[in-house]
Amino acid sequence: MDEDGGGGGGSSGGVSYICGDCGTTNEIKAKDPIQCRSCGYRIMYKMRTKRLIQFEAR
Amino acid sequence: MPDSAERPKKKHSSSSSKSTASAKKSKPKPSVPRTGPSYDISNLPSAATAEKMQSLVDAHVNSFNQFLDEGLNDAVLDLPDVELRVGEDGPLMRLWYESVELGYPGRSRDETSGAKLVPRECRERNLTYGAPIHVNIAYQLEGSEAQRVQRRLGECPIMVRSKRCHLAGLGPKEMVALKEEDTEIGGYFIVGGLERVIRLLQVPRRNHAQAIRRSAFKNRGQVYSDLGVSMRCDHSPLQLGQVYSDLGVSMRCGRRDHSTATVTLHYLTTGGATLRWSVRRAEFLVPVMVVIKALREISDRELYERVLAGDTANTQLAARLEVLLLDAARVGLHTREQCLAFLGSRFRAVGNRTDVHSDLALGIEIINRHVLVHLKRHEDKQETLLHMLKKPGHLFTMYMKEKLFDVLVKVRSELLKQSRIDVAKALLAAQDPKTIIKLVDRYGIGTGQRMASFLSTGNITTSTGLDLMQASGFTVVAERINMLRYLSHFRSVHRGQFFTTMKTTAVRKLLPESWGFLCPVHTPDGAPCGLLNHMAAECQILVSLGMTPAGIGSGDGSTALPYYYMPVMVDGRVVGGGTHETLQAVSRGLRRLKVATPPAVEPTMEVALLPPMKKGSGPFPGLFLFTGASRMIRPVLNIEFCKREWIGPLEQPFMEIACLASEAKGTGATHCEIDPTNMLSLIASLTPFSDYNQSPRNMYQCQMGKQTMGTPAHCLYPHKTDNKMYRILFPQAPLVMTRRHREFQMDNYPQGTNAVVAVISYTGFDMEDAMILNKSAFERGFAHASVVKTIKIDLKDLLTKSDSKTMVGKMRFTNTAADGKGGKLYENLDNDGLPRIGACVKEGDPLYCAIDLRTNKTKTGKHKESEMAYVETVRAVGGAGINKEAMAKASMTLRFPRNPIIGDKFSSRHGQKGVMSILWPQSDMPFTESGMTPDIIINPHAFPSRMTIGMLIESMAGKAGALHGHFQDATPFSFHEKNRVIDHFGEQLKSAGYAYYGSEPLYSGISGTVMHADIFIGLVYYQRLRHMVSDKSQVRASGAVNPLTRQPIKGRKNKGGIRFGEMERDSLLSHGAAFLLHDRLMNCSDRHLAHVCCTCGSMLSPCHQRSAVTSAGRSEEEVIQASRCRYICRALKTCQDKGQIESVAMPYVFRYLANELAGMGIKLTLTVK
Repeated sequence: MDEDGGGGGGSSGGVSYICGDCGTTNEIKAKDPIQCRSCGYRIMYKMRTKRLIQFEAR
Repeated sequence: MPDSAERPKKKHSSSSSKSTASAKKSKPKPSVPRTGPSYDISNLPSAATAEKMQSLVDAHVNSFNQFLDEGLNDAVLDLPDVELRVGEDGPLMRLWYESVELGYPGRSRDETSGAKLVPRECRERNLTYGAPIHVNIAYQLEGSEAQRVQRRLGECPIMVRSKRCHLAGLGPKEMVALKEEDTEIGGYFIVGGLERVIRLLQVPRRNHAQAIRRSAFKNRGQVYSDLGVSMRCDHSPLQLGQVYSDLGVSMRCGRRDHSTATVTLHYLTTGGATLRWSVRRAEFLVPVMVVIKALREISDRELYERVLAGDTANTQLAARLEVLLLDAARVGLHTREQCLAFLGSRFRAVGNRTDVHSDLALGIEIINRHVLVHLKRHEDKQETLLHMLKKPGHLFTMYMKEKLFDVLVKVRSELLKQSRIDVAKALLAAQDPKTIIKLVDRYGIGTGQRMASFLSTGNITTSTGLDLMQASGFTVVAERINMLRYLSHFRSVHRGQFFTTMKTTAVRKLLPESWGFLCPVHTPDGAPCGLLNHMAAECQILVSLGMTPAGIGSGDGSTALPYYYMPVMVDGRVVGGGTHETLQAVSRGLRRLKVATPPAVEPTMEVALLPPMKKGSGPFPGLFLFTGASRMIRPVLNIEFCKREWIGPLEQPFMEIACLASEAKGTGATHCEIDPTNMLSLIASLTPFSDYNQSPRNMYQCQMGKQTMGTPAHCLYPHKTDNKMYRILFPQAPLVMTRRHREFQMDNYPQGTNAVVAVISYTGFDMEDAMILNKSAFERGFAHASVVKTIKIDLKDLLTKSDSKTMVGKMRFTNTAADGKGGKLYENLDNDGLPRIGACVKEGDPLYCAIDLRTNKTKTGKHKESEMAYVETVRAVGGAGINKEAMAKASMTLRFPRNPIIGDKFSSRHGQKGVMSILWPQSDMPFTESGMTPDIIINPHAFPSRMTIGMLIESMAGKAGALHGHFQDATPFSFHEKNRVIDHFGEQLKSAGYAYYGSEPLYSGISGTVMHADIFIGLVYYQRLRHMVSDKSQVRASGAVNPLTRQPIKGRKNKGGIRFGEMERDSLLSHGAAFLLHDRLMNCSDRHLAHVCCTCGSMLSPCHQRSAVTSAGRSEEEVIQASRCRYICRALKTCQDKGQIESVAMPYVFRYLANELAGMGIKLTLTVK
């Protein structure tokens, strides 16, 4: 659960979100307002991680 | 899918040859396999389908449009001015609305900024989809110019797809671009992120008199009548009513904005009559003669002659008239002016204008407003429930009108208050627009909020009653369980809350009027049966007309009709009369004009010719024409002119309508149904071969179709935020479908799977409606499904209420521990305090974490359900407005995988439901000669008593369709005795090399031997129902108890138990299972050891011996030591010496009972031996 591509599970810093309108990726930190930096839309979806996830299949 | 894997060899060859042949014919896209009858490469619904779907909600959308276009302004014009006197004898001030208009939904308060607010955003941000209300208020002080102020009264919720909605008129592609469903039909409001629909309500037909006999009317008499007579509605002297209508001509009949007022005429046992109407919910009873005379100057003699109309033989009527005339004479009212003044003086307190008007003017106004806004006449038709609908927009208009008026009244009372304090200042203030603006803002800004709260609760708070019979239950949430459930919300029609409490079943009956308008099949069984109906698929509701009938002749009431003439009435006004023969010709002529191209009269006009029946029976005869709105209409074929004609429910029982064109000949039928399935609602007409089923089974299917796990929406992730949705994972288009299924392209929202079903008693796991599921079919994905839930988090709710206003920035999502070291609080959450997409959450796992910045304490929301779920979407939602606050709202969508397990419920489309009892290995399943094994095995006992022949036919048709590679048509009423349905599909089966009747020899999966009987096996479309064991299973050993009785609590939510009631107790008693009984009712419930004094028999008086005296000077331990096992009886000093205290096991409630009895001064004594 450390640094990874998309999700943003790092110990500090922001988490990546996709704008619900224009689709831009935004990195949002704890104190940032929820608003797309390019279009100003106020619904953001969290990104699915790009990290390889392997489930235990036994 | 399971069947595709196991197609017999023969089928393979035939279907492949067929598909290649069809592929050659249709050149353009040969590479695309045809997976459904409505499959389209563009994946968008065809224009025809979109239009069809839209027509389902026309009643809602058009009605709201009518509210926007006309209703709102009409309502405002109809509002009376508000008047007040500033100071004792100061100038008169008038206040009124000039106009009211709704804007468009905008993201910010400032509409001009152009940021549109679209429904999708409201759903995801939990907002209300509303538009600002702009009002123009004018006010005038006596002797000066009128002044106007323009204000904005909050935001009124807007119906999706109505004219004010940004989705209005968009096509499927544009809708998808706005992240809506391609077939989004609208018709609902979005309030706080939830979709709510205004229910259609059935109300008595407007402008049409009906006789009512209600024993409750008798009770009225003792209270209201000074004569002390009991009143009841009688078989009335009919002509009396006619006079009313004659005289009512001068009045306004019905109001333009569709608000109504009901007037009831009560007949007295003395022969007199009183008129009842209500003003602001208070009822008033006025002698009818006073009202008649107040309407028009008429002499007693004239009246007498008009009513009698030459029918001198009718002595009963004459006698009653005399009583009426005497009544009026006794009060001393002779002229019209006297009557009006009388009314005015009596109603002065009711009107809001105490000082301004004379009695006379007030009397006129009272009559205008409350009496005869339309006329009610009593016919002797008892409880005939003629259908007419009060529609959402109209209700909306009425409510809004009242709320707007309330604003003015409040402004007035505020001004009055001021003027009482300081006249001079008030006078100044009244001239200052700022005052008005301030007051309007203060009282008006909540108007929009009031409309929103009406929609979100369904409750109406009204001072006038709005002429409705209920105050709550006007709106429902449009649940997206699946598409059928969703659509049926818009088609349902409720009879009214009042009737649910009625003991008689008369109101629930199917009436000839409702044929073709309300579906006879689609109604729930049980309590709401017959009260909650659904409109037939072709039935429409008339919203408003482009025209209102103008210049209808007659009307001065001067023409007295002979008594043998039948009246002709247009929207409740008498315009003339004629004999039955004349009127027959007239109505036929009117019908010709109706269907002419272009229509010479309104094509939706209702021409109801009610023929005269034997004296004293049947409805009041006459020709009744209706052009007003809020009527149900449906198309039939006019045979005479070969045209489509719209007919209404009142005229229908008196018309000759044949079911089929072939039946019409020689029967005198003038009309004919366009399609026999037009009597069914959309959902009822999706049942294949429903004409072969016993009718209750079709009703059950209508219920179960709405509980199926289907496809609720295509933009499920991430755009749908309904609280709970069910979704099937590998759905199929049904092989056997009705015509209407194709028309509406219902396979865009598939609801089930085609399954190979064998009807056989195998293994014993299929008894009592259980079914066996093929384990391999299950493993291939048969009926796999998931539940989708959306959780909404608002950090405001985590704070206490008093803080919520000042919360901006006070609380924040976080995953950093508050200890200052910056470590992670939860491994499962990201830095933003929310879970990862795709994360699996189990019971007790954190879903979100937030920190209160003032106290530095964290709050964690946990996954409370015992089931695990996957996080599908996490939405961060920004606050409204321009404030730059950090994330305060979020929502997440969780997916609960729910693959079939033992105990889950399934059903075919024929009301044949059952639970899955076991997953049977495919290797042990019986198999056919071609090596096929069934997906589902059901018991043959499911058929004889239920008589769902349609299911057997579907099985054959499905099998034949799969063999030949085409979809079968299953429209009801398309086969008959000469063209037998069995033969049709039997031949198809035969040509594919199968047995004619759909049965096959089956081999036992265990022994491999052939079975003695041929087994009926075929393809049936199976639905998975949303009732699943994992939602119902309940078990408890010990746990929470009720603190008062110490008995276990109930309810699955609370980890409670299941009641072991009287009947269960009886059965254990009858078995003599005393130990078990004792275990259930005592040990596992509220077992208690009570101490009873053997001397006095009380269980309340014994207590621990621990007084100040005995414990003095001793340590705590010593006291406990000394008093252990030593109980004393407080009641009797003597007990202490020789009495003995015993402990007795008993239920704790018994002690409670003893306490309660002691509270009433009753002593309970136990005899202990």
